[in-house]
Amino acid sequence: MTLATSAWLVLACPLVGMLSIALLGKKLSPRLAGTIGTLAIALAFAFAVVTLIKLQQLPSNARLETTSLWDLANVGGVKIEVGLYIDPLSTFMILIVTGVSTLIHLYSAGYMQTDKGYVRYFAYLNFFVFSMLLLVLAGNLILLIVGWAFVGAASYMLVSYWYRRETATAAGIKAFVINVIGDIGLVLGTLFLFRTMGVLDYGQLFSNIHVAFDKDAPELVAAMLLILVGAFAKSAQIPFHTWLPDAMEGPTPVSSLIHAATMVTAGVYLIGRLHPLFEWAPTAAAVGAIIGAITLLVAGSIGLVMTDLKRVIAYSTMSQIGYMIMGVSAAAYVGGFFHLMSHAFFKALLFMAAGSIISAMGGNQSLNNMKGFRKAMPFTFACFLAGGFALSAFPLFSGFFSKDTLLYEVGARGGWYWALYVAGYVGAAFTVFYTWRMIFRAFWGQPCKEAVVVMETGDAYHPAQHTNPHTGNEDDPSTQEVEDPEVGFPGHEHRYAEKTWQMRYAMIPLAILAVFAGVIQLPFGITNVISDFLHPTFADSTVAYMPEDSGLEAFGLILSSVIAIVSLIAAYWIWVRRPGSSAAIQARLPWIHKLFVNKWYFDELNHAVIIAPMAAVGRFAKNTFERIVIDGAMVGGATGIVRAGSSVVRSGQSGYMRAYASLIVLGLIGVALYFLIESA
Amino acid sequence: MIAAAATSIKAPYIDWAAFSPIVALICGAVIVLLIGLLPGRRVREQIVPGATVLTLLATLGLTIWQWGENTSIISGALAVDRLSLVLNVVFVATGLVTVVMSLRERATVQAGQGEYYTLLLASLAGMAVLVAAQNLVTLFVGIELLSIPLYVLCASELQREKSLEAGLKYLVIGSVGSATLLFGLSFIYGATGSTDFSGIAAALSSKGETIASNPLMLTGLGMAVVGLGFKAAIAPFHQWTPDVYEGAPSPITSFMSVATKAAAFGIFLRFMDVAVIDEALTWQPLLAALAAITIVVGNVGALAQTSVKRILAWSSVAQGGYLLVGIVVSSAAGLEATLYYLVVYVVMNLAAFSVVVARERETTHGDSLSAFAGLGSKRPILAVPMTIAMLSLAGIPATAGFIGKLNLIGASVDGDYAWLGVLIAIGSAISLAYYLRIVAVMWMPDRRGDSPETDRPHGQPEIIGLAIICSAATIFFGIIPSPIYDLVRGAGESIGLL
Amino acid sequence: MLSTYLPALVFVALGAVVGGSFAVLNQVLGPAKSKLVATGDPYECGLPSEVKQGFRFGISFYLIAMLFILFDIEVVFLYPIAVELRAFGTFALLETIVFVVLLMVAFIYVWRRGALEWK
Repeated sequence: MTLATSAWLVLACPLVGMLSIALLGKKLSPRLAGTIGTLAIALAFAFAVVTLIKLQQLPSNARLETTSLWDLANVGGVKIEVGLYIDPLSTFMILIVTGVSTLIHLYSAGYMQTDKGYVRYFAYLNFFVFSMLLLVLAGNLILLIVGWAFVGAASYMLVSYWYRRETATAAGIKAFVINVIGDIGLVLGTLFLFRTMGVLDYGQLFSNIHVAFDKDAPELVAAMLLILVGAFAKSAQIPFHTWLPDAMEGPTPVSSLIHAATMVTAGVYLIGRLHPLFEWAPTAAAVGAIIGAITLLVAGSIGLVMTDLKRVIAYSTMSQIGYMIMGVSAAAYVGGFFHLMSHAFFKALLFMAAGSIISAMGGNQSLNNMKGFRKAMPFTFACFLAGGFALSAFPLFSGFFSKDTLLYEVGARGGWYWALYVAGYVGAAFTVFYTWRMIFRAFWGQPCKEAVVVMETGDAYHPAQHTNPHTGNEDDPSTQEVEDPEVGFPGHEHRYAEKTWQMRYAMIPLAILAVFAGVIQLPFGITNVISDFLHPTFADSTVAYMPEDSGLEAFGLILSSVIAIVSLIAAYWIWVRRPGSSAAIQARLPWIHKLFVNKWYFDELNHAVIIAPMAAVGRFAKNTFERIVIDGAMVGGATGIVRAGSSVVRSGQSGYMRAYASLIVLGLIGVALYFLIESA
Repeated sequence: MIAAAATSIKAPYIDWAAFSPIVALICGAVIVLLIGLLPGRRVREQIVPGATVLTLLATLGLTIWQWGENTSIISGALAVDRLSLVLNVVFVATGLVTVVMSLRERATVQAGQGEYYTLLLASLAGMAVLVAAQNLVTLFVGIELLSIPLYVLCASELQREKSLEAGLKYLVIGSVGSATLLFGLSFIYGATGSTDFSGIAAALSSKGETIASNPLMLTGLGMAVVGLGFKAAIAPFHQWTPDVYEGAPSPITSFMSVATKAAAFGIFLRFMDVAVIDEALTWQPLLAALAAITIVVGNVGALAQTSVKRILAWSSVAQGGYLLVGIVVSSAAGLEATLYYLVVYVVMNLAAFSVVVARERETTHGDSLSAFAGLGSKRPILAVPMTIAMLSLAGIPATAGFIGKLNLIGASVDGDYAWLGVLIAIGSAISLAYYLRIVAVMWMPDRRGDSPETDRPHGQPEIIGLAIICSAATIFFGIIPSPIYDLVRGAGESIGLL
Repeated sequence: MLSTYLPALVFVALGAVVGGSFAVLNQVLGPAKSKLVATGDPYECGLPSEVKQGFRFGISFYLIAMLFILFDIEVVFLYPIAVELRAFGTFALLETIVFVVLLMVAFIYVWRRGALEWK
């Protein structure tokens, strides 16, 4: 099997899986659909490994292959192929995507077992994996946009998966709209590039960029900023981040796969993929790095005060992706992608563990109601702990090495990048606090009634009636909208990891990876698996490649360890030893708490800047329309003709022929006037 | 004196082979009319449509026989080249689809089978003449031959008031359009002294400035643009579209929305890119402005509609705006992109209309959005093609519409009209709002449970088949677009564009 | 110059004389005005010369008049060809035959559809 064949097969597996599940549909038993879905992705992972082996057999300076099936467009100088771009970076990504997806499919097979839409769920999930792989493997910007749009659509379908819940459909629409804004940015940016360069293939883009544009040319910067809008929207960076916390309406495995491990990292991949362009437009790259830094701080601070378990992890995801965006924009490629990988492992794991707890809680997601699950769910606890250590960058866990590599590379660039370096370490302290706040509040203390039920009956807690946690007061189910368990929760039967082998077997490998994955890229050049592997992709980078400054590296490691340990102890003090102290801090600094709880008022800002003016325009149009049609119909005659003729669009659609004819005449006069002025 | 004139009259040479597709259509129309007079229900309901289909197949065969020709026939009145041949295929295909859609149509009974199908064939003959026309006179003859049967067809559902209203509106407003066009053509003739496209082009290029800035010429050009824009439903000359589309019998609406549009754009392309190409710098900004207005107006207008046929009417206005972009750039790439988009537009729009027709006959809700509520679970065999058609019209990747828009955007960027490309992208984003609304209505389960029952569930296998074929083609050409490229390649060259 | 138009002038003059003399003779020689409505009108059949609001005439009349005009005008086309057929040659003859055949078809259609029957 050649390299190209195996890459195509990676792409084909989820597509075939999706089509067979969708087409056979109701004829399939749910269990079979789950098996097909999971096997398709597992097979894709196997082919991804084959791709990796084949790629490594090539000489290291020629680890790049492009392959194309047919032309997508070939008109008037535009030639776009359905082609793949197989190099270390895309191979790295497909390994992570297929690997993590396989485990999450397996987890879903258990978690969603009693959901009514089980078959539909797996069709969507396979479609998502196909789209993500298409995005990653695409050989030109157009195919990337195709994958990009598909991923957005898949995310929409999965966020709104429990479509009978109004909050879920609203969240899906919000996610889709913000993603479409990003898509437009990406499309326009691509057009800007195409306008000057006339090519869209990565290879040609990279080799021609230095000829086509001056360094930091305004047009190039504009194009790259537009592309960044796409990256920000997909990766939930400020100010396009508001959809991600709402997207937690989707089933928890979806949050784990799409809104933590894979889709939201697409922006990071895009910046890394187009790094020759970004390096040639340093202004745009700097904007990316700064936005990443702001996001990591803002999101981290919001994570400190959220009480919905899934939303805490969602803000954590935003914050961690802020690190990656900052990293790859600042040319910290090894660190950026290393962190992407370890984050995929530990964040997927954390979501899975959170799903397990939420199941045991009977759908309640509020940290205020969780307590003392340590003994009730030891396996989940262990996994959460592994993920938590990795997320908080505790020394020797995977997150420790990846975050540190990233910040070290950023810091080594010197100059104003120091500010980013500092921001990264401040964010690290936030990370430790929100991580351990979650863990201490959910697992320590006197067991809550749900935990007691789990311990005593060996089964999850089943509330008398299910409610939608996104309505009413999130701490008090009695204030929430009552719903059928089919509507917003996977069925009547609750599955949690201790009782469901699929969930367990999905979490174990991730836990191991979350703990140990750091060993493949240790500091001081002890191991260099990732930097060596990615080297061919980033060899052309002029700005940075793995600096040699062991002093800075050692300083970073020590600083990081100190932050992790000291903050952990402080967190323990606040939430375990002195349970009242967090409330005291809140009371002391009410405005900060309010700012954080209200998510820095970004939703309100969006509303004031975008939604409110649009709504006003809409109202105006509606009122004017009414007035004109009613008046036009009543008054008729000359005024009616004039009004109908002069009013634009629908308001002119009066149904009167005289109005239509007069508009034609008016148009004719306009056209004739134009020509006469032109001729004069 | 008369004798002298008589000896100098020479019969024009007619290349009957190249002329044969049009002849076939006209003969077919005559024969179908006569067959329609024969007594007997079976004759009317089976033989008349059968003869129509035979005529169309013969035309298709003759068109394919002439494939690759590039000649002028009848003293340069008509051109047989890639552009007209490709469009002939489009017309014949649309005609066949319309016949199939009309098989159970009430209008055919009320207006008489023979008359209905004869008018259809006559209109198709007009289209074939129109897109081949390279003379102002043939252009006008073609346009009238196309339009007059359509006026009648719109009103062919004699017992429904809306249908009559649509026909009358179309007639009156259409006459305004035709009059404008004719007026404009006479001005152009007056300014250049020629009715031949090549003669006009020669006059423009040889006399250069004096004619190019001649108010007579420019006014004529402006009026011609308005007249053609009317047929192509370009804003602000589009207002008849929603009313007429809504009122006309659905198969006729479908026919108008694709075939008439294709014909209008065919002649638009040829007229602009052959006759007045030397004036391109003058008319390009104007057409660009019209394209922009059309894209905006069409997409905005579709937003708050509840009749699916009205939505599709507005959508066709917007799609016309996209198509116009290819004319604006006046390059071979633009022409081929327009032609490409025309072909895929026909396919995806026919898929949508098949479902509308099927649904109109199955429920009592007509073409209202409510007729589509819950279609996804009740009749997925109709909901899936409709969904594909909507997604393709919106330009979602992996559908033919996406590739078509991509070509148009590419051509616009290539022709230094990048902002129009941007506008196409923005227009498509707006259009998602109404296309997805239809999709949402079909797939979202109806909470109030008042989704229409399939009241008259008599089988319509032929229409379901159409919907499936057209939607499958939409997907197929979205993934493997090369057959259409092969079809349209060379069209620009054949009329002398670079 | 004027001589070119002379036949036309003569024609106009003849028309005026003939038409005028008929009218005058009718006035002089005809019977005295009758009180009957029908004979009081300028024309005894067809539409009344003075159409009042709300007046309706039979659709059959309209239809037949339309058809008459159509066929009448079509026949006008035949005249020039008939006059100069030799100069135009066989091509024109063929064209004329095609034209007449089409006319025939239209006629058959109109006839079979019963449009010529007075209802």
